[in-house]
Amino acid sequence: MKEHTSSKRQGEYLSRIALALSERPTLQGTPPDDEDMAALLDNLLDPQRRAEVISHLAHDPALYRRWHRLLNDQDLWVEHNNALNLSSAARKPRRWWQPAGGLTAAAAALFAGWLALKPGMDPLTLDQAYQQFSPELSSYLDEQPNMRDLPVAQDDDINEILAGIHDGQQSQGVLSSFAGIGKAQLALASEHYRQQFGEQLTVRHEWGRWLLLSDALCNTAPDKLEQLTRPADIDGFAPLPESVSCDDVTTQRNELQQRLTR
Amino acid sequence: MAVTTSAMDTDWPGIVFSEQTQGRIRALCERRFGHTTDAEIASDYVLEHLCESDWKLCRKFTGKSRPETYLYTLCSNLVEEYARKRFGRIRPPAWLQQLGDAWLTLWKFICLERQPVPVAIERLAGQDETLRDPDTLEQMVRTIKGKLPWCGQQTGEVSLEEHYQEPDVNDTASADTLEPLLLLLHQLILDEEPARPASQWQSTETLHAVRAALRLTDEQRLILRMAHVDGIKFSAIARTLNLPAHQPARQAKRAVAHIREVLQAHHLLPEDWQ
Repeated sequence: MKEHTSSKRQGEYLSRIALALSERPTLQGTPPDDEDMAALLDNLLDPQRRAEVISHLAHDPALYRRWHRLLNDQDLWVEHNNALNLSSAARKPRRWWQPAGGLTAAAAALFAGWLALKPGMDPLTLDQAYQQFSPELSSYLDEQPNMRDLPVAQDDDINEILAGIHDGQQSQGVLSSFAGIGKAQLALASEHYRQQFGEQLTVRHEWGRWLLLSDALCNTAPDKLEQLTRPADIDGFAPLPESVSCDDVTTQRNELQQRLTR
Repeated sequence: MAVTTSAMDTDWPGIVFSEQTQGRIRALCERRFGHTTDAEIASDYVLEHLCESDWKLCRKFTGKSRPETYLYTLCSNLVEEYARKRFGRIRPPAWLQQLGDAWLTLWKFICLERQPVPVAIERLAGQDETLRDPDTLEQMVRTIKGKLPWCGQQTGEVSLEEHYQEPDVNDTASADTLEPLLLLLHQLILDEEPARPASQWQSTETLHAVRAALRLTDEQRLILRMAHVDGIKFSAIARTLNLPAHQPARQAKRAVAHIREVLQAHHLLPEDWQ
């Protein structure tokens, strides 16, 4: 055995053994049909049916094989996804993992308010934008310096924003500093955020994710910035104009830096 | 689920024969078969079967999903159906079956369908490599070609029933069926010479105890399979399962830590991991 088996290989080894050992339970609900698979991709299943479909996928190799095939080619379908304008396309419900009611619902409602759609353009939610502009974000993150500054305590509202930036970076599997803010600071903010809000996504958190992606686009493909939805204004930061420019993004980023040093 | 009025009103001929859908189907077939005659024939096959019997397949749509995504699942099935009829389904070697769908797909592309290796890798890596890491895929190709020197020399139409049987989904690993997997894992993943696995693995009681102690949710199982067996990136898993970006990696980490604990408790971890 090699002395240093990477954690990735260890993960693969352990996962394969656990999957081989697991017994197939009695599955709930009817086996998914083609439309269930499509609805899972579209995020249109209600939580109960979603859980049933996931359960079948986790235990039925033939079904998983079909799912695997769908994933392999999905980018082709999404890539050509701009012209069709079907009536059901707008009927996207809240994400299944966001429970109705409480603060989460309020955050979701605020988030919906961000969507200032431009006539003739397909709206890109933040998640869609992260998916679509993943190459730009990766390339941007690769260029960021790895600052090793020790983190300092921050106000909760700033922590929420930094946690959003950290999560945005994590979506690409790259953790780096951002606009002079060290990655340890971002990681600490993310940890505090999880303790305070758990899996909930607050408006400030999402604003942080927006700022990261916007800055990435301004540095790699500025003409694509207009495809992002404008976020809701938050206290302590200059209100954004209806049409956000890279200058506005820079202003917000600088404001964040200043808040950190105050 | 009841069929909604809007689902019944869906203009399938209008959608399927739109320039966009035609482009999508062509792209799907070209990715599957390259820029070949097969891609053209497969495109025709898909269109023919979509409009067959007055759009019977399409008219099963009830409105649970978006019509274009439903259409995508139908097209994906039909392209696979065409490939199966064209190339058959030769039974893959047992070790490949154990390694999972990414390995099987790669084997199928390069050994059965004789697709150029870069094309096969590009396809599995996804656009802009968002789905998988190409270096890992290259390593998999090297392993497949190393173990199967005939790879790429065998093709042609082979009837399904003659050569291939789906594995029994109710099969549960026993000490006998687990041993080949363990040998394979030690050889391919831990990069060590094949040796008989530790004697603890031979004990039926131990296997029962481990099985009883393993507590994985269905979602964790699915994430582990996608990430650690089929090499799909966590960002792609989050996207396709509509999970928060950080969650698949976090769930997988927890699950792996749990598996490690269980195996450690039964002294089943490789020696230098203890």
